[in-house]
Amino acid sequence: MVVTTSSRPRARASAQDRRDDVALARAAALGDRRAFEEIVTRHGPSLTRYAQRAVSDRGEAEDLVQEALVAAWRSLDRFDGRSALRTWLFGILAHKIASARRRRSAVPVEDERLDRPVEDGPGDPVRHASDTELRAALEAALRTLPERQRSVWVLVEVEGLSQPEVAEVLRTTPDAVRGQLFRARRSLVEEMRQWRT
Amino acid sequence: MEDMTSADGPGRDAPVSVEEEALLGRSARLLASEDPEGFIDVSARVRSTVRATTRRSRPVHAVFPEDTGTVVPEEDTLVVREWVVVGELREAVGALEGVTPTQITVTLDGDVCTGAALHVTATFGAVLAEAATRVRRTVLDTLEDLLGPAAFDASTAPVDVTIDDVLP
Repeated sequence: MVVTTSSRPRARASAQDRRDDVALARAAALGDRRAFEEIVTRHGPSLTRYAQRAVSDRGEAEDLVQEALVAAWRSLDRFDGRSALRTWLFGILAHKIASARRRRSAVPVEDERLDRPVEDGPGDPVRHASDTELRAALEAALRTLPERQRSVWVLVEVEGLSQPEVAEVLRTTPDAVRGQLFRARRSLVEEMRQWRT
Repeated sequence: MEDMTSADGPGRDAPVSVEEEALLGRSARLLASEDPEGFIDVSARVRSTVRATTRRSRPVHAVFPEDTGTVVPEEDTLVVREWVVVGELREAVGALEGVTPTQITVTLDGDVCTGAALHVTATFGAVLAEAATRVRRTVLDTLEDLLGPAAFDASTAPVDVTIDDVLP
């Protein structure tokens, strides 16, 4: 049996989360720093996860998240609530990442191959693989993806954004996101094929 | 729509199987559950930067209080930035029961504050006319306290209150 749809989002925001976000954004736009700090606490980890997979240097990723959040603080009065707050924040970060890429010379993609688990090990390698090993394999597989596919996969599958939201963040179309996601999933599966029974 | 076929090899355009789906799902959940290393440091830096970051904001004329017992020379000036005024109004109006400010605009003629416009949401059950009156009075009192009566004429300044929504 095969399935053609995306796996379920991991962290889809609830309607209440969205309302709380709007209230926090409004308060922050009126100068409430505590409200903004709550926004940082809510969304900072997701933004950092995304940035750490979008750029290869961890320090640069952290700097970009910082730049994006400070830019958000300065421009919150322009957040109109039509998008979800996290979509708006991811959009700012994606723009910062794209600008950083344009500024620096091209850095070759690290062509690290995943460390294959022992093929003749006992039982189901997926079931018995440690989370640490699986995560390392996934990180390595992600690094082999073109940056656009990697961004799309992380935003949809890890951060739970909808495909239209990702299209808004990356300034493209939902159809393009769907295509990138399909290819990313197929490539990841191929890269991680040793993890399948 | 993008072409989803690929020349990368056989199987590249095939959908993923249930087993593969499970592997990808487990992998994504692993990443989603992690607290990213370095975020504590990022958060601290952002908080520190935000505390030190002021927004572009117009100057608003104010006067020194007269009841401090200190003589203030006439040439001395006191200026309050617009966003400080907005912050004070947000605190004051936000402390009122049954209303939450959502937009605050200070009306300026040059650097002289001549009024304010507020959008608020009201809590379901609040008497709207009464809530609007309390908002208006609070705005006038706050501006007069902050800027000084010589810099803000609360007896003539218009305050526009818009109740955007009534929420549970």
